[in-house]
Amino acid sequence: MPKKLLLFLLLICSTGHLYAQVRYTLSGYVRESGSHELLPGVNIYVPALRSGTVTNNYGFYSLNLPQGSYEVIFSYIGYQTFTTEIIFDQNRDLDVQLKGSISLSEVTITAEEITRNSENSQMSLMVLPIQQVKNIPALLGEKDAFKALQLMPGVQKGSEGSSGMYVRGGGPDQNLIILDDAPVYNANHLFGFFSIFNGDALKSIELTKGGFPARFGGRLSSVVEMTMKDGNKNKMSGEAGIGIVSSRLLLEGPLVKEKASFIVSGRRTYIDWLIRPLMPRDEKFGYYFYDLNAKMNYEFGRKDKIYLSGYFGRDKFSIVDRNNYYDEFDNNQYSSEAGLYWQNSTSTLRWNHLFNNKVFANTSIIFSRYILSIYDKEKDRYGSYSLKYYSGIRDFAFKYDLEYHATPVYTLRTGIQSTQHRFTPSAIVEKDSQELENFDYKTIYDSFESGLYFENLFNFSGTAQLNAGFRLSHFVTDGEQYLNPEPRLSFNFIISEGFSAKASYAEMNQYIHLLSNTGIGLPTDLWVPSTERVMPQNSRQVSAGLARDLNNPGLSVTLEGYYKWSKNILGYRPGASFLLIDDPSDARNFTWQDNVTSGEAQSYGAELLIHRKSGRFSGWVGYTLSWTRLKFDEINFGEYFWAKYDRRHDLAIVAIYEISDRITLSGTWVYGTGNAITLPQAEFPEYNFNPLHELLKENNTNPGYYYYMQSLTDYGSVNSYRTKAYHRLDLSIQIHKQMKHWERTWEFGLYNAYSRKNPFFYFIDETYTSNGSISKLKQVSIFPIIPSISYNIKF
Amino acid sequence: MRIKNWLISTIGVLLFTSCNQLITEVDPPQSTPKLVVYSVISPQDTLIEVKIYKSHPLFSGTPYQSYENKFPPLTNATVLLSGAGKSVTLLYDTETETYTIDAQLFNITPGGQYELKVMAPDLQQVTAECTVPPDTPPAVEITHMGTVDNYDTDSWYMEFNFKDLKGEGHYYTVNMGTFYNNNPWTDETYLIDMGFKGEQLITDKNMDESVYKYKSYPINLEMITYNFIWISLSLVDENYYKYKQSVNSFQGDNPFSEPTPIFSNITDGLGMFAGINTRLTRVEVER
Repeated sequence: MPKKLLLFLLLICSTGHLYAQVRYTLSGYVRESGSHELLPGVNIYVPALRSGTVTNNYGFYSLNLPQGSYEVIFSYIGYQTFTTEIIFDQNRDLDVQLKGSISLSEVTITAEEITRNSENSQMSLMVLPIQQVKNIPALLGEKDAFKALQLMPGVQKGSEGSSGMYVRGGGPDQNLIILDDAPVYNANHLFGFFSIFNGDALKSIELTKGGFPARFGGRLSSVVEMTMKDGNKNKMSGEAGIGIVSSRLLLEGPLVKEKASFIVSGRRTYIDWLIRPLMPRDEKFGYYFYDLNAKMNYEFGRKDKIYLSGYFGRDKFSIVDRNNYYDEFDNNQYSSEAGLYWQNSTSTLRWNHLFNNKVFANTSIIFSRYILSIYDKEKDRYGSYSLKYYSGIRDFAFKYDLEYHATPVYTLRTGIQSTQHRFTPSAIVEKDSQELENFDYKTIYDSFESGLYFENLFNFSGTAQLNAGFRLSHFVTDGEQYLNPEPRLSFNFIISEGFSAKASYAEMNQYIHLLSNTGIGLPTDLWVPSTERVMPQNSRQVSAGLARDLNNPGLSVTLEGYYKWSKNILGYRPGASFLLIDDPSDARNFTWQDNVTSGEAQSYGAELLIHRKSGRFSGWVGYTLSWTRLKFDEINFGEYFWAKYDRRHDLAIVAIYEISDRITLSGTWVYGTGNAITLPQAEFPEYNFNPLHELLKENNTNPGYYYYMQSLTDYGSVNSYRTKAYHRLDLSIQIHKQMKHWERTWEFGLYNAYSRKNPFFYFIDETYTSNGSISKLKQVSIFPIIPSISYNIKF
Repeated sequence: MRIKNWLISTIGVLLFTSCNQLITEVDPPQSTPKLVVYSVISPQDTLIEVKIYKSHPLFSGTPYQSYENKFPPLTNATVLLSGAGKSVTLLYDTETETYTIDAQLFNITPGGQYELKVMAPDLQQVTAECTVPPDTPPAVEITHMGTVDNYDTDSWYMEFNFKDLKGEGHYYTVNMGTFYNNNPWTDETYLIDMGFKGEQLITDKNMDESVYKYKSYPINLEMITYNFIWISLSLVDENYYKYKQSVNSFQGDNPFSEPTPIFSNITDGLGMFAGINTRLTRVEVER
C-alpha cells in the first residue's frame, strides 16, 4: 500500500512529464448495432496500459494514449464485447457498434464486461440495467423503475406499495429526478402505488446517493438520472403489452434512415372503461392514468446531433352526477361534475456538438410542469356554482455542459444551468350565480435558480482517480437571494487490480421544498420556494468505502459507510395540515410559512451491495444498516427523534435465472425494520384555566357555565413506536417464444407470495360494549398475495 | 367538502377491497397510568388549587363510559408545595375536587420559585417547578369605545392595546368578560367571556416591545347588565404558554394533520404547573 501511494504521488508530480510523450486521441460514439441507439456507460479498456474510460450520457468517448499499437475492448452489459487492435500513430475517430447478446451461450462474463467500479472515482452510484428492471417481479405486473431502485442498498421505500424513495435518510422531495435533463416534480401515479417510469422508453437509469459530482445540484439526498431511448434508426420496431392494470405500446423507427429516428411510448389504465357500464346511468365515477413518452433526433453529421424529447402523464379521478329530485314546488334537475387531476409534462431540446475529438458540448433547453387541479361544477334550477382549485410548479431552464478530455490524466467538465421556477401553491376561482361576490385568488412566486460548476477529473490509470469539483449555486426569490459554494470531492485509490478504496465529500443546497401531509403520498403535496423566512436546506455528506470487482463470477461488491448532516430541513409544526381539498376556498388564508419549521437531521449507516449484472444467473443482494434522527425546536419539545423512515435493517435479495432461452425465473425477497410512528398511548383531561374567571369567581355567583373539555392525548415521544417488520417475497416466470414476425412473452407473477400481512398503517379501533368503550390497536395491510398475468410482444 | 369525502371514500375503496382479513390486531405500546397534575399559581390568588387526575392508558382494556368516568379526580394523593424556604401540604376539597390551601398561609410572590411534589398510591411520584413572572403586567390602554348596529340590536364594542415590556422572554394571555344577570329578581350573575380580534396567547420572541392591538366583537348592550366589563392581562411563564399553545394546536384524530404532543413540565407525569401574574382592568360602559 505505501508503495502504491508513493507511486500515486509520483504520478501527480510527473503529469507534466507524461504529456511530453507523443500521444494520440481515439474518440467516437458507441451505438447499438441495428437500432444505432447511442449507448451511455460503455466500458472502453486498454489492457496493456490498464487504462480506459466510459462513454458519456450521449454515447461519446475520448481516449488519449501514447504512440503504439494496442488492443482496445468495448464492452457493455447485455451486449457482445467488441475487441479491436488499433495502431496509434495519429488521432483517430472510431465509432463502434455493439451487438446485443442473442443467446445464453453468448453471454459470457469477462473482466472487462463488468463496469469496473474499482476504477471509477464516483462512489454511491447505482447503475441499474433496464433489462433487470423488466425481469424482476412487480406489483400487478406493472414494471416500475423506481421500485427496482428501492431494492438497492441505501434506498428505502415509504409505505407498502409506494414508489417514493427515501435515500440515506432523506425524504422523497430531496431526490432530483431527471428525465433527459428535465426535472420531474411528481413521479407518482395512483397515490404513489406506481411510478411514472415503467422502463419501456428508458435507455439508462442511474442513482447517485452520495459523492455527488459538481454537475448535479438542487437536492440534498439523491439524483436519479434517466435517459430516454433515441429510437431505432434502421427499421420500424416496437413492443406492446397487456396487463391487469394497463396496456402499453412502444413504436420506434427511422425518419431519415441512419440519420433521424423517433420513438413513441404510451401506457394507459382501463379500469374506468371496464367498470363504467356497471355503474348507474346518472352517476358515473372514473379513474385513469396514462403516460406518453416521445423523442426524435436528427444527426447532422458526426459533430452535431439534435434531440427533442418529451413526457406527458396524467392521473384523473372524476365523478359525474345527473339526478332529478323533487322539491315542494317542482321537479328539479340537478347535475354536478367534480374531479381531481394531476399531470406532469416535460420537454427537452438538446444539441450535442463535438468541437474536436477532445471537446464535447451539450446544450439543453428544458421545460417542466406539474399541476394539480380540483374542480367542482354544480347546476340546478336555482343557479350554478363552479370552483376550480389549482396548484403547481413550472420551470423553464437553460443548461450548457462542456467536456474537455485534455490529457490522458486530466478531463475537465464544466457547465452552467439556470432555471426560472414559477410556483403557484394555490390558485382558486369560485363563481356562484346566487352570490354577488365571486373570487379569483392566486399566490405566485417567481424564482431563479442557477448553478455554475467545474469538475476536474484526474485519472492515474491503475493507481487512482480523483474528481475535485466545485459548484456555485444561486437562488433568487421574492427579493431574497442566496449564494452558496458547494465543494465536491471524490477519490478512488486502487489497492490492487479490481480492488479499491474510495472516499468522497459533497455539500448540497436545496432551494425548493415540498409540503406534504403525514404518511400519505397525495398529489396535493405542494412545491414552494425558499423565502426570507424559509431558508434553503443544506447537507454535507462524507462517505468512504471499498469496491471489489471479481472477474469470476463477474461480481461487483461495494461496501460503503456514510455520515450526512442536514440543516434547515423542513418539518411541520404540530397540528399543521396542508390538505386544501378539505375546503379549497381556504386557499385564500393559506399561510404555509406559518406551518413549517426548520431543524436538523443526522443520517449515518453502512451499505453492502453484491451485484451481478448479467449472465444466466444475475441479480443482487443489498443490505443497509442505518440510523436517521431529526431535531426541531418546535417538534418533540426540541429533543431528537427517529425519522419516520429510520430503518435499522434493510435487506433485498434479487435473483434472475434464465433457465433457457425460453424461460426466465425471477424472485425478490425484501426485509425492513418497521417504521417509526407516533402512537397515542394514553388520554388525559384538559385544563381550561382562565385567569379572568379565577380572579372574579367570587362574584360569579352562578358558575354553572362550563367549557367544553376535551380528552388530550399522550403520545410519548415523537415516532417512539415501531410498526411490525416488513418482509415480502415476489416471484415471476417469463415464457418467451420467437414467432415468425415477433417475440412474445407471457409473464405470470405473484406479489407477496406467502401473503405476509405487512403494515400499511395503524389505527385505533374503538369497540363499544355494555360496560363502555374499549380501544384496540389495529394494523391495516393492503396487499395480500396478488397474482398477475401479462402478455407482451416485441416486433 | 364533498370532494374530500368522495376522495377519501375512493381511497378507502382502493385500499380496503378485501378488507376484513387484512385488518389485524397488533400489540399496542405498553403504557401505565401517570399522574396528571394541573396548577396555576399567582400573587393574586386567594386560594391555591391543584387538580389531580390519572391518565387513562388507551389500550388498558378498561372500558369507560364518559369523560367524567374516564377521568375521575384523584382523592388519595399527597400534595406538597414548597418555595421561599417553606413547605405546605394541600388537602383535598370534595366540593371543588381540588387540593387547596388558603393563599394567606402560603404566599405566592412575583419572581418566586416554587416546587410541587405529588405522590399517590400505585403511581409514580411526580415533581414540577415554576417561577412566577416577576414583572407587573403592562397597563391596558383603551383607545376607542362605541356602539354599532348589529343585526338590529344596539351592540357595544371597544378597542384597546398594550405594549410589551422591555426585553424578550415575556409571555402573555388576554381575556375579556362581563357579568350578566338574566333574572332581575335574583342576584345570580354569570361571567360571560367576550370574543375579540387580536392574539390571545403571545410570545414576544423577535417582537420585543411591540404594541398588541385588540378589538372586541360587538356585544348586545342588554348583556352588559352592570355597565362594566373586565380585561385581564396576564404575564404567564413559559410552561403556561407552551401548554396552551400545544392544546390550541391539538387536532384530535385528524389523520391529515401532524400529531400534536401536549406540552408538560410535570416530571414523570403529565399536566402543567405554571406561574402567572395578572393585571385586571375594569372598563365602564357608557350607554
